[in-house]
Amino acid sequence: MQSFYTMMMLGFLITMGCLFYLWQWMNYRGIAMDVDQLTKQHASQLYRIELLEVEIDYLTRPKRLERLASSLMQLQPPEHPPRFVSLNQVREIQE
Amino acid sequence: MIYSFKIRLLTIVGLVAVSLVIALGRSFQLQVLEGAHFEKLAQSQQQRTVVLEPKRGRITDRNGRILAISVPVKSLYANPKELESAQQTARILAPRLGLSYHKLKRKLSSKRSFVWLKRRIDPELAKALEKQLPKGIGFVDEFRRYYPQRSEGGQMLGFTGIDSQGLEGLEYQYESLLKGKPQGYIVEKEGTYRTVPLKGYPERPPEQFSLQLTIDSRIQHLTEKHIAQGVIEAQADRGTAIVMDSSSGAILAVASYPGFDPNRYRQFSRAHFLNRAVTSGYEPGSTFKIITLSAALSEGLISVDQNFDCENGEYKVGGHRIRDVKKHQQLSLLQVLKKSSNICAAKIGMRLSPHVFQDYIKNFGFGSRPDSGLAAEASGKLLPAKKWTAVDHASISFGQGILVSPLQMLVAINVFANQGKLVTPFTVQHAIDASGNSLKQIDPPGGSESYRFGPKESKRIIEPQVADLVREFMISVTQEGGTARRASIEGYQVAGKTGTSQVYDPKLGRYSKTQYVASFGGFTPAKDPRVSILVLIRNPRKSLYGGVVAAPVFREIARKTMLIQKVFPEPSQPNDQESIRISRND
Repeated sequence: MQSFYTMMMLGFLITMGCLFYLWQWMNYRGIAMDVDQLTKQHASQLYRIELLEVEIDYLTRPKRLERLASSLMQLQPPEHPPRFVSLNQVREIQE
Repeated sequence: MIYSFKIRLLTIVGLVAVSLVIALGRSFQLQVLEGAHFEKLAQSQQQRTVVLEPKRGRITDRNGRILAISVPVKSLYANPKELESAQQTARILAPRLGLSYHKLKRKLSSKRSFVWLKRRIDPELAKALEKQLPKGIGFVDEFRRYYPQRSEGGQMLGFTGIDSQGLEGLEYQYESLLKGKPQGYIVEKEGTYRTVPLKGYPERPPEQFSLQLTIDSRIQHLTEKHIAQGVIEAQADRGTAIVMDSSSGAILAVASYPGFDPNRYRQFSRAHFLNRAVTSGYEPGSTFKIITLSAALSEGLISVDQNFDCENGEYKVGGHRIRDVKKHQQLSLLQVLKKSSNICAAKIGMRLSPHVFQDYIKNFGFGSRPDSGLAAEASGKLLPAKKWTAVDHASISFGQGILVSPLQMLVAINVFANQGKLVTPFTVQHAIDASGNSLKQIDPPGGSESYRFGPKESKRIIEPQVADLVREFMISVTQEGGTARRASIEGYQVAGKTGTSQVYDPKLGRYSKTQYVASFGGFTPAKDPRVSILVLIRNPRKSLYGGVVAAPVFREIARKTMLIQKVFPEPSQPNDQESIRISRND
């Protein structure tokens, strides 16, 4: 009878061990899938950032800025170098 | 009772033991004896390899502004074997995809298990379709090359094909660096159709090298703008302009007009794709006289205080007549360049022996590729010295009978901005690997050609005294009485040389009387050069002369480039009332 109980105990322990292994395995798979999802989300967010970067570069391209500056703000690139004066000249003007 | 219980227990234990032995035996057979076979079967059923398409590296300008990038897009495919009704599916999808119903139905009725329906579809449409995809229709993630600056720098950048392979320009030139390698990882399929990544899962699709160019998109924009204006105003066929950093050789802008938008390259003819700054040759004309003069000065065959007889506008060499635009009698060396006399340049050039002259020409970089990193560089054409006739010798002296690329000419002009040193031009500052490291050199595995980026060592080809003297002459060209008065910029000193060359017509077998190339090449500020610029306008109809059509384009590009580079004009003299008035108003 003693050997029977020993066998039962052993069987119980093996079953528990298997259940624990199964639980661990399921847990691992669950985490692996979560990691997979997060990685995909991360990659998609990086792509979105990249797309925004491209959009910024598209919207701030020099040709567009020049067009907007001249049409909406009446700004023009400085045409006459004399607009730039030396510091001495500024002092003279102030005096 | 006990006996019967024992027998029953023993029977059960015996049965369990026998079952266990059978199970163990079967397990042994399946896992050990036939293990390899069943492992393969299981793997093919449970696992699959997902291949990630490589993401092409980006190309940016010197300030990190994106010039070319691959953006994720979706492509629609069908498995015709899984479709419930090809006719019904075609009826639903055709109007949404903008495809013909019959064409789509034919595709969907195919006996294959994979057909592309439409590649790289609009993201909005993909989002709308994703929610109601019929069975047998699916999406594949791909990348599409996008050029945010549109047509600016189009010829230099080139473009990629439908499978992201570089077809033109830098995209083609650096294909092996920009194109990533496909990377696979293994996933396990579950009963619920979910997949679990097992090993080798990359965080993002593999990305190869990105390139940071020397181009400044602001300078590129103004170069494109002014060369287009110049060509239109001169009623010319086309034009090219190159802006280069004088001391390092970094190319800041390369523009050809008319250009094309690489995002829509299929809508343009092949002629628009050519980066004419490096691919096409032209006869430089008078801009080449600076080479002739510096060679003769270096050899001690002429001196600065010498006068030359310009034969009153007409001179006969080997039975051919050489003419000047204006008649001149005696000219000093400075005036030969300032007035751009062909006759005197020919006389000076002919003092050099053909072999010595050819060596100087080669030292200035003509006859070999400039090695700037731009695609499809031409080496030009230089007749071997032993084959030169007297006319060839005389013509080459004033820039006819020699074929050079615009970039070669600019590199030669730049020698005078660097006190006689030839600076090799370059377009790529460095490559950036997937981890963000900047690399100046890449040695691809397999012993193929290595890539070197950044400035290269300069080479002295003429003495500084000779270079400085010719530079003084070049300054006079843009001053009162010179041929390029229109290149002068208020507040900056400009050194340069005009060129107006005839175009050889192969059909006529002689130089055309109607086709010309007008050019101006120079640098500014002349005493401490920051940028060297060449402007070339082909077949101008309004005026033939480089000083009239090319010099104003040079002036506009140079002036604005100086402001971008924060090189401000020399302050005007105190008696310049206008500057004070403007400042007061401001």
